[in-house]
Order: sequence, then structure tokens, then C-alpha cells
Amino acid sequence: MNYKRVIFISIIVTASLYSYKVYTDGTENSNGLLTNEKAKAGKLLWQEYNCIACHQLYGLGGYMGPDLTNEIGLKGKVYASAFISMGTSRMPNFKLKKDEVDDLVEYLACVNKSGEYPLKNPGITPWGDITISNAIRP
Amino acid sequence: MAAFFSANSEEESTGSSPPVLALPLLCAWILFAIKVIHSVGAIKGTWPVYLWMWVTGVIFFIITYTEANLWVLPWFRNNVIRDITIQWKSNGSLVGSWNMMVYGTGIYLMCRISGNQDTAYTKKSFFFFFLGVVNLLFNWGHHTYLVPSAPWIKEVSYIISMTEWVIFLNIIRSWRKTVSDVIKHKNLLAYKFLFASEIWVFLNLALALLMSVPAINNYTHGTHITVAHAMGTTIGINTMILMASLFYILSEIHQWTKKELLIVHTGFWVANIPLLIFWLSLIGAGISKAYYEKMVPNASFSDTMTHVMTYMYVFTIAGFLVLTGLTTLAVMGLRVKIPRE
Ligand code: HEC
Repeated sequence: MNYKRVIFISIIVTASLYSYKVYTDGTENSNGLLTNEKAKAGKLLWQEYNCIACHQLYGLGGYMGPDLTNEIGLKGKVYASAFISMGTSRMPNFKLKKDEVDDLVEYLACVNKSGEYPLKNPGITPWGDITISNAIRP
Repeated sequence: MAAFFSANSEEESTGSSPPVLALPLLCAWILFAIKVIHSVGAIKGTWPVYLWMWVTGVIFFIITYTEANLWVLPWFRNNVIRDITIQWKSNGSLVGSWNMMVYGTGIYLMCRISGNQDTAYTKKSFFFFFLGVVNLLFNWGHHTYLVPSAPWIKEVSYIISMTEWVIFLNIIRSWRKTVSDVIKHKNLLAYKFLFASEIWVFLNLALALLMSVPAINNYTHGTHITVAHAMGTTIGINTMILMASLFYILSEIHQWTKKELLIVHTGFWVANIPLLIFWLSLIGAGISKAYYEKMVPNASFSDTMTHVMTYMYVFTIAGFLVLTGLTTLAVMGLRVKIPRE
């Protein structure tokens, strides 16, 4: 086997091992589990209607609309359902069925439980790092 | 080739395109990769660094593209934190793979223009290639500093991201040589574009390095500063290198008239100066969004947006000019008749 192949294979193996570690050990945050079937259906609707094109979760996504990480915690399910089912002048009305709206709200409720964004009290260390107090609760 | 370049623009978006569309794209990429690896693999002996970059880029493009679609499996999508982390892990590395291919092309062009292949074989070039690979694999975590995944993911990427200071300092160190090369090759169109791309590397790297410090990222995250970084890199660096390739090839087969040259040079400036304004206005919008969201208590979303809007007007006008400049360049390129042999 020539050395080029060895180098490429080592890079790919490193990438795979690191990915495996991230998938299992790094993201095993049980606060973020979609616990019920409605939330799981909601996640698929979230993908289908591409809500992330305008909204963010943890600050990641499009900037047309507000971040929805703690939407349910801050505003509640009724408020969120109203927006999702009717839209506004700036958010399209997707003409979703009542069930689908509920599913999306359940999904957002699980997102809300997964953590806090924006952080109210980021612990900033002298070397510029931040500690997230709620990172992986037992 | 056209399909190759257009595939990227679709994937740059943060979105999660439906997996049905992903399959044919993935197949196209695999075919392309086989072609690249097959032709490059046939080259015996020591490879110049750009061959390493092309092959690594193409392999990781496929891997990370597949990863970006892992959410179709319930195990990935039914954990919010895992889903978001992997979405940004894959997107970050996907863009990194693409950049690896484009920068490889930049180095290739530099070698062709100077007629000197030596730089593509130096220890230093291989060191930077290696640094690039390490960053491609591990630095994506700076997108997810604020996501409550395991702290070690973030520490790894903080440390790895900071290694890019070496690249930054190297650009400053070799600045004088870069400028003297520009003067030497000042009548070469391709070189002008390469020089522009180098300035954009410098600006965007500075921004990226700052954004990768978690304490700063806490404010810039989720604002238009992220967009400035993404667009500055795509348009400033990648498009300029691709333009350099285009005009390098065209200049080989076409004798530019004075008038054509004037239009191309004008197009160059009309693309680059507004791009700087475009980039700065996004940074301005980002600072303003960060200020209202994170410093002013109880500022509503629409209040914040009102302040951001001012910058967005400037952004829109500048963006339109950039587009005009790039269109002019593309039209000038397409007008060249390719001689039949
Ligand atoms: C075209 C962009 C766009 C898309 C796509 C979009 N939204 Fe919105 N959304 C907005 C905007 C803009 C607002 C702010 C509305 C306003 O204030 O008028 C908003 C507001 C909301 C709110 C209320 C937020 C608040 O706190 O006031 C919720 C909840 C919401 N959207 C959920 C969703 C969901 C779920 C989806 C996907 C099915 C979605 N949105 C898709 C643009 C969008």
C-alpha cells in the first residue's frame, strides 16, 4: 500500500472516530429528547416547512423571525399556536391542521426543555471560554 | 464543471433540503469524486500540495454531505441537542471541504502564473495543508458554543480554531512579498483576482478568529456577523479565486482588447468595493442586533429589527452593486469565443 493511501485512510479514520464520539458521548443530553410521538411528528413538520429558514434554535438559522429556543417557556403554548396557525403579515400562514400545529408546539416544548438561549448569565472564564451552567444536567 | 460549482451554492444554506433531492446530488458528487481520484491517483511520485487538497476536499465533501442528511434517521433527529450539533458539525465541515478544493485551485493558479512549482512542494505548504485538515475536522464546534452539548466539544474547537492565528500571522509576514508579486504581474488579470482573494482571506480570517473566542461568540452568535463571515468567505474568497481561474484560462486563448480590459477592470472594482461595504454593513447589523438582544433588557424582536433595518438598506444597495460587478465579469468571460482545434 502506498503512503498516500495510508495518509488518506488515517484522516478518514480519525474523522470517523471523532464523529462517533460526538454522536454518542458528546450529544447524549437527555434534556433534549423528543419524548412523545407528537413532538417527533412536529420535528418532521419543522423540517418539511423549513421553519429554520426564518427562525433560529440556539441562535442558528435564518434571521427573519425570532429565535424559538425558549418560545414555549417564555410565551406559552397558546401564544405559539396562534402564530403558527394564523401567521402574520411577516410570517406565512402555512394553513396547517390543528393537529399539526399541536405537533409543532410539542416539538418546541421539547426544544425549550433542552436548554437556555440566549444565556442570561454566561460564566466567562479568564481565557475567554464560557461555561454553560445547564450543559448536561444529570 | 458547471454542476460542480453550482452544487455548492445550494448547500451553503443553513437549510435542510429534503432528502429526496439529496440523493441525486450525492450520486453526482460520488461520480465526480471517483473521476477526480481516478485521474489524480494516476499521478505517480510526490504530489504537489494542491492535489492533496483537491482529493481531501472531494472526499470530505461527500462524507459531510451525507452527515448533513443523517437527520432522516430517528436516532439523530429525536434528540434536539444531537440534531442541532450534527447539523452544524456537518455544515461547518462541508464548507471547509469546499474551501479546501477552492484554495487548492488558488495555489495551483499561483504556480501556473509564476511558472514555478516549488511552493507547492515546500514543507511550509504541507504544514498549512495539515493545519487545514485539522481545522476541517475539529473546528466546527465554534458554531455550537452556545448549544448545551458536552463541554469538551467546545474546548477542542476553541483550541483548534486558535491554531489559525498561525495562518493569519503568516499572511502578515509574507505581505511584502505578496505586494511585490502583484507589481511584477500587474498586467495579468488572474493575478488581480488572486490578490483580491488574499485580502478577503485576511479580513475574514480576522473576523473568524475573533468569533471563535467563546466570550466574543456569545455576542456575535446568532447575528448578521455570522452572515458577514459566511458571505465574505463565499463571495470574497471563493468567487475571486474562481474568477481568477476563469480569467486565467480565457487569457490563454483570447487577446483582450483595450476596451474589454477596461470593462473587466471596472467590473473588478465594482464587485470588490461594494463587497467591502456589504460586509461592513452586515457587521454593523450584527453589532446592532447583538446590542439590542443581549444588552438592552426587554427590547422586543420588532424593536431590534427596526434598528437592524438601516444597515440592511445599505446591505441591499451594496449587494446589488456587487451583483452588477460580478455579472459584468461573467458576461465578459462568456463573450470570449473558444477556438476550435
Ligand atoms: C418566511 C419566514 C418565516 C417562516 C418560514 C416561518 N416563520 Fe414563524 N415567524 C416569522 C416572523 C417574521 C415572525 C415574527 C412575526 C411578527 O412579529 O409579525 C414569526 C413568528 C413566529 C412565532 C411567534 C414568535 C414570537 O415570540 O412572537 C412562532 C411560534 C413561529 N413564528 C413559529 C413558526 C413555525 C413553527 C414555523 C414553521 C412551520 C415558522 N414559524 C415559519 C417568519 C417565519
